[in-house]
Amino acid sequence: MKADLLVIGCGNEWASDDAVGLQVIRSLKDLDKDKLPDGVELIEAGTPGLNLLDLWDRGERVIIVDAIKSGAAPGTVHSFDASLLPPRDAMPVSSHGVNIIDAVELGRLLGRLPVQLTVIGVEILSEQPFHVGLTPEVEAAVPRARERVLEMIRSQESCTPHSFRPGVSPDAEG
Amino acid sequence: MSDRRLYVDYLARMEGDGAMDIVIGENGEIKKAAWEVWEPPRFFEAFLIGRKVEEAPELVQRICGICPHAHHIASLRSMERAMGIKVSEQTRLLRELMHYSDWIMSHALHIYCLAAPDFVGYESVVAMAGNPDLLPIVGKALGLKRLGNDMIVAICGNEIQNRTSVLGGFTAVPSKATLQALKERLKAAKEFAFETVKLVVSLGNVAPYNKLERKAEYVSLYDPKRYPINEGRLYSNDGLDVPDEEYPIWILEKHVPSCNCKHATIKGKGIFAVGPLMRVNNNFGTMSADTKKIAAEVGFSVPCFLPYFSIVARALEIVHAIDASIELIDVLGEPKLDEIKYEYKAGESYAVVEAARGSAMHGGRVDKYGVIQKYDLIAPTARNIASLEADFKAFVPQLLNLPDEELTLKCEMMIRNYDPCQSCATHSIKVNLRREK
Repeated sequence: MKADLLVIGCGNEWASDDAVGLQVIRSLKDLDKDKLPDGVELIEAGTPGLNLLDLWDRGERVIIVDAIKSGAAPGTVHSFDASLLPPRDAMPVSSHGVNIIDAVELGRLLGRLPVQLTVIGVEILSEQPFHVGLTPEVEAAVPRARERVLEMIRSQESCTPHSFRPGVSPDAEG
Repeated sequence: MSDRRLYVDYLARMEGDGAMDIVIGENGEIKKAAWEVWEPPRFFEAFLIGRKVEEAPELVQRICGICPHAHHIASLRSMERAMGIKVSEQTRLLRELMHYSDWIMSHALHIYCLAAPDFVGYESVVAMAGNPDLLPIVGKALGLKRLGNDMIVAICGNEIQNRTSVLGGFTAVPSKATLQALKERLKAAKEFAFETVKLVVSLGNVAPYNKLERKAEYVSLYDPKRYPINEGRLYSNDGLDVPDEEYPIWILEKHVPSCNCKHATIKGKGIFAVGPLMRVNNNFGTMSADTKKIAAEVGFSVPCFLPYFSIVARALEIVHAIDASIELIDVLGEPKLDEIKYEYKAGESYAVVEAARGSAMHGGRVDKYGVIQKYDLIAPTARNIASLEADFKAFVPQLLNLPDEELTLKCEMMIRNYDPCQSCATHSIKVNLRREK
């Protein structure tokens, strides 16, 4: 049976702030059970690549929490409909480089997108390899990103209040 | 005087990162043909020393997300052999099924996401899916890959790295109902596997791909009775035929400047190649009946020394892997949990398995307390670097009339023929073509 709402955290634990999506999922898991309604499933997906298509088959509505680099201040929390993702500027360097943009594009072509697919992106500062741990600015954004997820769960709506344009910080609380 | 240089510093559609550098002299001679793998060395062999023997198979599966089970099973078999541990027939069969699942996943990924876009002229599988004629094929390809992944989950309890397979056996086994459900999906996948063979033959069977032939020594496991995946003798089409644990005696390696991988030769002989094309050449006789049937139908026969036909060998192996998996599920019936029982014993041994992309070797020495004293591992990609450079030297002179961009692409494809995995190989793509004018 499909979850009503699937929250998928993406990121590499071993690349500093890139792990922020995973940390947001963990902070949601730490909440008291009554804060999360039934039918919400939380997934720490790591770097799933095209497996995202299989993951979001499991939910009616899907929120992806991921690290983002748009030029805004580190720690800024963006949220936007996945259809607003910018096109890729270059093809993936290797199978290791397949990302959410490829998955959304392929999902769109194959008709395998969820009814509603929202991205919550946390602006990051560091992708230092083989470093575990978030920078303070990004660490401080984890509760705000979690709150954004909870708002969406409560509202049962998409994220129009925080629409996103690449390169612009849409988030005053950033 | 200027050389013609083909240089690609980040090769796309690879497992991991590397580069290619080719320099062509004014008379068309190849002055340099190098494949530089610069993923950093991983030091697995060093940090396994001093670890308990049970940890080796656990840790080595972290080498790669595409062929973790190959590294895992080679490690299991070598460590078990070193300590004289015999595993049950059921464990051997489950390990085969686990590894065939990996082949289905890996071959589907390689054919459709990494290799096919080259042949049909797209830069990526996503771009390829933009063609309405190809879109349904991409959808089915992802389904086939999913089947491989789901088989792995059923047996290993996890998408990639397994949680159930350990030294001496399994800590959990799939139920008969789970296996039967997979069997139905495997049966349903056969049709697309046949379609895949026909498709890739149509892609490969055009000039120049079907003209670029290089006779070479092809190495793989060999078993006269059973298609080799986890067990067999170390064998070549040119006379090598030794027990697989003698791999370190027969396969020698040396460091090469600019490359993080070691290059390999057969003792007393020259370079060689490993991979699906080599396996199919050496073992065509033990492929499933339907595999032979579709091969005959599309006009494929062995020996075949066309590196660009590696994609065909992979497609044939998908058919075989499906048939072999169905047969394994039938033989396994209702798996039971075996008792895992062994004692530590000092010893040294090695084992070879056939990873999707070719022969992988693991092994080393264990003391009487079960502590690792020495560990060696060799990934297939590292074996193929010298062979790839020989392909460059043999084929680039035949393609000199192509403009640089097209010649560079043909060279990249020569690399992808081997389905290299840089992450595995380093202990290590970018293409760089320079012509003298």
